[in-house]
Amino acid sequence: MATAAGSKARALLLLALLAFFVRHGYGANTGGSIIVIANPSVPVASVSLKELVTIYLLRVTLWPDGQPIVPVNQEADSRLRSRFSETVLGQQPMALANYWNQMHFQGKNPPLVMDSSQAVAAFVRKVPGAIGYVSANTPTEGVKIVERLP
Amino acid sequence: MTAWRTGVFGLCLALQGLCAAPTLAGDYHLGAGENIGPVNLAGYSNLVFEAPHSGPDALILEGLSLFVSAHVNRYFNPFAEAELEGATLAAEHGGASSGKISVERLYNDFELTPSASLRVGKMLTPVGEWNLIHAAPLVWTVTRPLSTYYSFPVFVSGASLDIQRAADDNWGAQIYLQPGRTALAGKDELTPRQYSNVGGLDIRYTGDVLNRLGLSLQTAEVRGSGGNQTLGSLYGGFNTGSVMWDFQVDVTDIRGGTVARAHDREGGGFLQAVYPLTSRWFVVGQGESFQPRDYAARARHWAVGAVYRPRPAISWKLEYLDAQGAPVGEPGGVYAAWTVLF
Repeated sequence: MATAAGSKARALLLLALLAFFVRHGYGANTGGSIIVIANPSVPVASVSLKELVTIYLLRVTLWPDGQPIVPVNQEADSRLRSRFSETVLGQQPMALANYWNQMHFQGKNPPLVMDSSQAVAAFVRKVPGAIGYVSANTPTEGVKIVERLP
Repeated sequence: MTAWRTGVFGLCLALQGLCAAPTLAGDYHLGAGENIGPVNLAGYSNLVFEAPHSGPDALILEGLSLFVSAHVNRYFNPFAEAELEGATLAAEHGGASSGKISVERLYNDFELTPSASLRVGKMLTPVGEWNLIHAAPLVWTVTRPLSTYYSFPVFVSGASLDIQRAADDNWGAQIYLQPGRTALAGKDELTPRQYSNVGGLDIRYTGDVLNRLGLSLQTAEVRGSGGNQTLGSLYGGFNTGSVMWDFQVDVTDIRGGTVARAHDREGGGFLQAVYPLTSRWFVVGQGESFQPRDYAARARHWAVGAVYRPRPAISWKLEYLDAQGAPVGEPGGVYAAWTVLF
């Protein structure tokens, strides 16, 4: 009886740990490199790091052909988002969140938030003008790769 | 008095409970509004408890704002904001009021090119940074520095052209013009003066989200024969170590007019420091010296406070304000606020 109760407790503990790791982005989002993807309609072949900054800081809202830019972000507690925020945008996620709130108040919609790399890829594939970043192991059929980050 | 304070405490507890819910269902993210097709619905609330040295304690719904924006195409990007402000929910010796609803912003953005946008309608005046992001959840103090609103119209109605020099450049500028009076006048009518025929230029350099520098220039007619004025404002923010600094320095020259004034030059400046104790707790210090045109004495304000931000869209603020000199702005005392951007 005591053994059964112990096994149950261990199972619950494992489940809790698994939920914690999934919640905090371990797994798919911990992949080494980041791929920046865009909808095939986007009229550029590549996007530089500096252009990524201007896009995600909402300083530019149109692609060169006049098509609206639709930037996509990952969940606030995603490790991939932390890495992208710090290495590409050069900011702490909290500072960026404050900044996007300020931009939102000024009528500029902050990047849309998707809950996984797969969801980002699916959104970017579907929405003209969309750009997002995903982990390196995410399937990229139907999207254009515009930058690879180490 | 005891029952009133108990009521306030109970209300705060209830609000805190509401805040504990992580987000609403679906794709909604607190602070980002709700997207319905190309339309975004959002807003903010600001519940303030004030205990000034001179005057009764009060619980005030200082702002309940709703804003709607849509990005339909390059030429149809409307934005509208309506706000209920100054509704006193409870006061120490009675005197509750229902507040006032005003249309704060109503405009459309025309995306002319990837680096130029034309805005037509009623908008926030680009003088300094605080005025453009004045929503309570976005600023660190309950009280607002005089330099950020006292000397200029906080709204203008007309046209503005916003230019980003190049897609990957850090420089930007906005030029604007308001012929005649402000349309749909609301909160701007509550500022010390009203203005007409306003024109200005704002030039800004944005290094990153924490390091910015800007210069605002503006001319305006002060209604009621208050003369003509020219304003210059230097503002920005920077980061030193862990401390986030913000400042704004204004100088306004006033010429002509028939209304008596103590000075032909008005202005001053504030400096604010925010130090993060943790990722959610912050200490705020702010000092300001300001010379109003209508008073011989300067106003000197100091504020110290603490801010708890459990997430970027929610702030709990507590601050003490010491106000000396000219009786302009908020009186000295204790202020607390609960603010949510939703």
